[in-house]
Amino acid sequence: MASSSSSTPAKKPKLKITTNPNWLELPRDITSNILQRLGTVEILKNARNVCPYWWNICKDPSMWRNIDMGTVDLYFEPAIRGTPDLDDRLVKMCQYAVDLSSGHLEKININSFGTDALLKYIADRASNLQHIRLASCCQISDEGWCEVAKKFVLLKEIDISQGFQSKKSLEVIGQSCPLLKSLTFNGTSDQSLINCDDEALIIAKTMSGLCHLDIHGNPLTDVGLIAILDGCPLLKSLDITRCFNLEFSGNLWRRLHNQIKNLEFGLLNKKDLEIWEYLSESCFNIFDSNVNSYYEMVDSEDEDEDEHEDEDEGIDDDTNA
Amino acid sequence: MAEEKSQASSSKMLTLKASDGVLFEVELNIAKEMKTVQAYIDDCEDIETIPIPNVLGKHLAIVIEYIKKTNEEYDAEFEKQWNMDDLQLLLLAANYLNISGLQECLCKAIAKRIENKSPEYVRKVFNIENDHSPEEEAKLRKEYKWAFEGVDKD
Repeated sequence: MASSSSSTPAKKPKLKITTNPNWLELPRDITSNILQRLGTVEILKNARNVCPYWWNICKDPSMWRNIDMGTVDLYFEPAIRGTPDLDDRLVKMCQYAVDLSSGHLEKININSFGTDALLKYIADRASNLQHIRLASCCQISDEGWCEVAKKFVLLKEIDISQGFQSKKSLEVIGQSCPLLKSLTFNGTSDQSLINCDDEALIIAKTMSGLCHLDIHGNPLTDVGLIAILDGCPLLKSLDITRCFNLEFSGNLWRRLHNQIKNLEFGLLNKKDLEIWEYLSESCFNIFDSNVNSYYEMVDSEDEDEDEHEDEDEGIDDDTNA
Repeated sequence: MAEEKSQASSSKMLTLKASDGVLFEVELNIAKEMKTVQAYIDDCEDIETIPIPNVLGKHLAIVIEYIKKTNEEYDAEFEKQWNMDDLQLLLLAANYLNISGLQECLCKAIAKRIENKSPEYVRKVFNIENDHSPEEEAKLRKEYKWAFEGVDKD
């Protein structure tokens, strides 16, 4: 296969003399469409090094509206995975990608290597950011969020799962992000079962636009949950898996059923699924009965007593006497 | 006239003529998925044969088939049967005819084929010549050392 002569300007795509279709003739936006799907690390390590034309496309800010570094260790040799060296490289890569976005960054996904300094770096350069995910970022502190939250006014979606943020971060986020529609805040460092509604109350008070909330593992009680349902009237999707301090007393199940279209509450046992299906299908008049908990509710209505003798199995909370 | 046409639209047939002269009779609602063709029909109401000058008959056949059958399952299997050359020509066809679903399906498929592959592999597969000069290449390697590690040497 003959190739054409060597000295051409770097940006002009060179044609190989061949009858095969030439990929460099693809419209720029299509090439960009393909390359963007590769993910940030892949683009920086491989795709953009294929030829100067692709290098040039990869410098276009429109390629960098979405930075996805959610599962990055796949791209690195086992020897350096899990070392501080890798984290440093990933931070550098992320900063480089943020620079390339030139202010057009809308969405960023980071897993574990995030730091307060990186968060600030992003905040200073991405005022249009709408979606941020900082999963398992143990090096990001409340102080980090307190310093930058006011720069993220356009944020619609925040995922800070498995981190060490406390109510302090929630407070400053709630105050600074009026457009917030989705919050994932779970797996906090304090996994104790001691009742605590502080975080729930802050969410209820400051995040009235929420449509989706994932607070699994949170120590909130019924008081906190009711406050959230009251304070977030647009809430349609809720994850309260492993919120063991909830008792669902009074008509709380009815409220949840009425308001929440997509509820995740982590089936502690098959019984919970039966209860939910039963409640979903049954007439609303059962909610008028004067009972203290949803378990009692089902017991009093259900004719099949035998199946429910061992309903306490596998349930960690102290709902049932 | 316009109302009559829309009532009969589901049964009205159009002819598409590929670049190599191959003719395809398609129903109007299928042709409308090609936004370029739709715009053409809107401008020239009485047209019956529409020229598609940059798409070969074999690729136009595949595109029409895609429009008729597209769903999640079909899309997932669709790209597996085509080699890179066909994928590229199909993508160019989808782009020209402005069929966004097909375009997305193909871009996704092509991205998948070059995932975690070295630049050398990609160049081979795409028939691209690397016209960085050796000096440029060395400079790039030095500057972004972290970019060149841990990749399949395909």
